[in-house]
Amino acid sequence: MPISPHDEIVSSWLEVLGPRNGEIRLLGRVSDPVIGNPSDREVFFLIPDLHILSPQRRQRFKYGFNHNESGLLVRLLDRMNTLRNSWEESRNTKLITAQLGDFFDLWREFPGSARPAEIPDDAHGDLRDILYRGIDRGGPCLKATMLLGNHDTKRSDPLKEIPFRYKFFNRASDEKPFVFGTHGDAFDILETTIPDAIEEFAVYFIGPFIEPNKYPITEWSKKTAQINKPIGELENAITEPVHNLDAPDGAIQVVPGKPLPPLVCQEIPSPGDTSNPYFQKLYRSIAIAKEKDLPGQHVRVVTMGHTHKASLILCRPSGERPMLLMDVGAWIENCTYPLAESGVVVTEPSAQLGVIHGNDARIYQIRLAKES
Amino acid sequence: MVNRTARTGMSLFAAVSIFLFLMAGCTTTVVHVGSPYDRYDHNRTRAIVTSVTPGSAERVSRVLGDEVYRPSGSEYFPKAQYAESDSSTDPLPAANVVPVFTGATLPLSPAPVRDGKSDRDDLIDFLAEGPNAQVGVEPGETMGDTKSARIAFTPVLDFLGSQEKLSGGRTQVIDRLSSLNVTFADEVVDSRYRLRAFADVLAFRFEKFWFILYQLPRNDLYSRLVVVAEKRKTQDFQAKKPY
Repeated sequence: MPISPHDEIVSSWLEVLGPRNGEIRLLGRVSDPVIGNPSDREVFFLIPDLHILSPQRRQRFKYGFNHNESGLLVRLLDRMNTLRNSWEESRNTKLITAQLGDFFDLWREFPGSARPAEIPDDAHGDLRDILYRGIDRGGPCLKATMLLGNHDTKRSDPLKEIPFRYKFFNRASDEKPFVFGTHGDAFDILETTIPDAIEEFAVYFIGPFIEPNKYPITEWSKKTAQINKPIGELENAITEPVHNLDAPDGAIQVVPGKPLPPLVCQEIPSPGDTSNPYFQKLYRSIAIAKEKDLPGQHVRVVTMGHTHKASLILCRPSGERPMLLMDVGAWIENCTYPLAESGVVVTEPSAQLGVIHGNDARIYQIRLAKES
Repeated sequence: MVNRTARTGMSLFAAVSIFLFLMAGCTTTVVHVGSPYDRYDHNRTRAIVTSVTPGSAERVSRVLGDEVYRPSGSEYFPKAQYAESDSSTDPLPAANVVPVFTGATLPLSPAPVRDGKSDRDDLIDFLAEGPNAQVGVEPGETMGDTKSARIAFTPVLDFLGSQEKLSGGRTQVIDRLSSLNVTFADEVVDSRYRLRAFADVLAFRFEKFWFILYQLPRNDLYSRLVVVAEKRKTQDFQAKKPY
């Protein structure tokens, strides 16, 4: 039986994780024709928010890019690049990588005006190389599609070396893409309405004490109330330093060749049946694309970051268009979930990655045993 | 006294207004034709044919990738060294022999290309990837909303596909373009050529891109095109949606 690209990926990651007593857990999976991918030639590799900073700025903030010291993500990406090359040589499979935005966090990097040119060349140079810069330096490179996140620009100044896109679709010759990628901030009412100055205040005044993600509008009043507390108490006001992931049956350890349940996700009968504030907006946006007869109308899978909370939500309304929301999570802050075999609840650094091959979409949590 | 103070204030206000008006009038719009990645100057899916080695009769056909233009060069094109050793402290060659595209061909052709897209469709693909994508050499592995781009840019694409509309000289072409809600540039700075090589260079902005037309001496029409993005300084939330 030929090994599937999913298994090849897991095997290659375990080569990195094994010596570190690490493992891979399945946070979500939808293996079903509902995904609507007509091709099994491409593998989509999805990397969520990283929020990297230069080393000196990193010290100022409580939360930062996880597993930085071990270089875990770079090692995993190097392995992906090896796979990419072998697949290109065999011409059977193509690896398509997308980083879903909030890569280099300019909001936290610069207290005042952004001066991206002052970021040292070697500040996370290995990550920048393997994702998008290596092609210019003669090194390994995934040539990732880099989405522009809200933290990737400060007062509209981005790190200019990054080839940003606002969104992406898979390349479909018939203009009927099945997957759509967006950072997610365009569907966040806070991001699109609050002035820069307020956001800046939130990041820099209470920034060292809270996670740098944004909140639904209903929580904004709570957050602003916290700003009025004495600065010394702000650390106690953290409400979500840990993202409670929806895994009622626990997260299964992933081993190549070991069967996995086809549906590990939140299934909802209609778009309004979830507390996720983005699902309905995204579902509606696909409907608008249909009204305008645009390629977005064919999308079945929406992949995003921005929230830092990994989730897989499948909506299959009777007689209506289905949609799978694949929020790939983050590599910042922490997450908590139960292990499938024991029910033991673990809290550990968020380190999530997404993979789609054919009609099989998955979100993994990468864990190092010492942090479990 | 009051009248005199008021008159002085009025004069000052008028002087400042005139100064600001003149300053605004003096603003020059300069379009820069930047690196191969930032400029669209050829159909990226169209193979080119070159000699395997300089002077060789053996020819090779290839579609270019991003690696061709990196400082260290690629395996696909020759590297040049100085005739005598120099003082360099790095491993870079003195120069890389790489194609400098003269511009996409005008009138813009909708005719399909073997194993690739038509010139018109490839330009649409470039536009759909957005203004910061740096995909002038090689298309991205994902794509933008090509249908929206095709709809939005149809007036310009049709213009660029018409020999008649590209002919007749600068004044007539500007007149025709003026009906398309475009903005004209005052100056073009091109990293590839001295612009005096051309009889005329005309740049206009439509949506988020500058379209630069090149007319050769003794040629009645603008026959080459380069497209570069206008780097806007705002978050474009609408562009992040699937419609």
